[in-house]
Amino acid sequence: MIKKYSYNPFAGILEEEIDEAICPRFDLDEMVNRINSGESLAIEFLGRKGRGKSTHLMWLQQYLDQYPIFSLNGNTSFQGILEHESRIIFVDSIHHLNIVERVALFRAKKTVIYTTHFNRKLECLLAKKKRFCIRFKGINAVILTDILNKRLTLAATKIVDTEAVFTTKEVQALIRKFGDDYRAIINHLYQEFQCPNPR
Amino acid sequence: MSQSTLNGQLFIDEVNVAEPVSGYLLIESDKTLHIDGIEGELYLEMRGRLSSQLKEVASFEIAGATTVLAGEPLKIPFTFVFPMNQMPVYEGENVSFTYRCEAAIKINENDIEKLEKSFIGKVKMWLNKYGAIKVSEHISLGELTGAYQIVPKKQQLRIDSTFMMFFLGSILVFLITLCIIQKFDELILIVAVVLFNVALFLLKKIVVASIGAVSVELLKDGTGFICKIYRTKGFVLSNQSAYYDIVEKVIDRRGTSDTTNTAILFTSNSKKLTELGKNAILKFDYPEKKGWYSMKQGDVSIHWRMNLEGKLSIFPISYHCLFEVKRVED
Repeated sequence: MIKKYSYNPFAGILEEEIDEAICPRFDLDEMVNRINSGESLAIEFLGRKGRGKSTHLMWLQQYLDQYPIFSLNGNTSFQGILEHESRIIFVDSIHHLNIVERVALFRAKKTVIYTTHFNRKLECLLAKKKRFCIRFKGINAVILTDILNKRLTLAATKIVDTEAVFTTKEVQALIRKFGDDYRAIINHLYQEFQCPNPR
Repeated sequence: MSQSTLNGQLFIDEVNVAEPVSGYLLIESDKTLHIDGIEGELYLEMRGRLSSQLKEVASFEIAGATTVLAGEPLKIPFTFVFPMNQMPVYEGENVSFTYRCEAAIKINENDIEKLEKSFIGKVKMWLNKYGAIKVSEHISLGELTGAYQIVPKKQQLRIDSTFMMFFLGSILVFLITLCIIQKFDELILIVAVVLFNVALFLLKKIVVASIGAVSVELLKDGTGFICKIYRTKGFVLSNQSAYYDIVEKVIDRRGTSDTTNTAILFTSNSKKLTELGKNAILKFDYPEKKGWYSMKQGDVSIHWRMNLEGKLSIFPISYHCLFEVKRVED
């Protein structure tokens, strides 16, 4: 039997694949122009875990790769970020910094684009930084279907009729079960596609 | 002026470790394109419930400067050697390891602007920021598995924090909290958390001291391994049994918080110890399925774990230690 997929379509994607897998929550050109406008900004990707904040952050940074991205899940030190020469930076998981550090960061850098579970109004107020927030909340069947189909296409070894894989009814059932938690949906489907004969 | 397209596809024979592998790259363009060179790269590809990653394991030259003539398919044969001592191909519960070959086609800078990225069939092509087009293909890897072999070791087993400890600790904390503080405020919560941890720590020490210590010595033995179990005098657990299991652990660092996914890949038969006296000698066989060697690759690990279980009164108690099993040629 010919394998339909090179790998489980709902495994984590490579950084180079983000561009093809993502269904953007904002207009890319508009956002790039906003960042390059010279205005001092805190651009906040706000939402609960599993809603796509980090993926969008990495995706946006790929189009602005002259500016560094720091992931605070790893071993990145606050001092290292502060001392980096770039005045515009991307920060994933800014909640790993304490409030004093966040204020200091907002003061030291011209523009900080970051992911967070809670809004950072207070820090922006203290640092006198204009805040621009993008909320990662909500889901609909059309977008979810698009996301799932892109994953299938990326992993496919041959052209797949993606419409035959997920029906509208199934997508709606996923939304009923997991709400807008994309990560939970992807993890659920990963498990389903681990079987020897996936859809 | 319309842009040109470049289509490419890699064809690679089945790969056997340390042997020359043949393949060819087929490229075609509707306009003449100049290529500065083509590099081949072999990657270990990790995919699963984590940020998927590529790790380069080898690189080789496919071709030097060449020209693709408009409408004429160009077939470029190449050979490479898959290096030894690489991870075996692995399909786990939460992660898989495969290998893929990439051809990075470096387009001459005068021709880059002419080019439009394209996709054909199953081939994925990317024009990266260095002006190279990448064509990739998963490779079919021959048998990379070998026999299991334990790394001999002697060590003390560690007691697990069991339900009994949690239960007793909770009662203890509840009672002490009630006695000390009469009204509910935030202090109760802080005191409860601190006391719970102290109680758990003390209880663990008391249980370890009252039961006694146990250690194991693991030794090679043909198709399996020997596990010698040494228990201190008066080791009081009843219904003792020992078994080993193989655990896959994947740390998912995607997004703003980490999650650890674990799966038990294999559990051996459990062997009773009650009638075997103070020092027991057990023989375990390796699993029939190959490929579950001890390993750690970034956030992915497979570890083998020796477990000893028993009961203290009605409460289950378990001990464990990790050990290493490596791959050796059959």
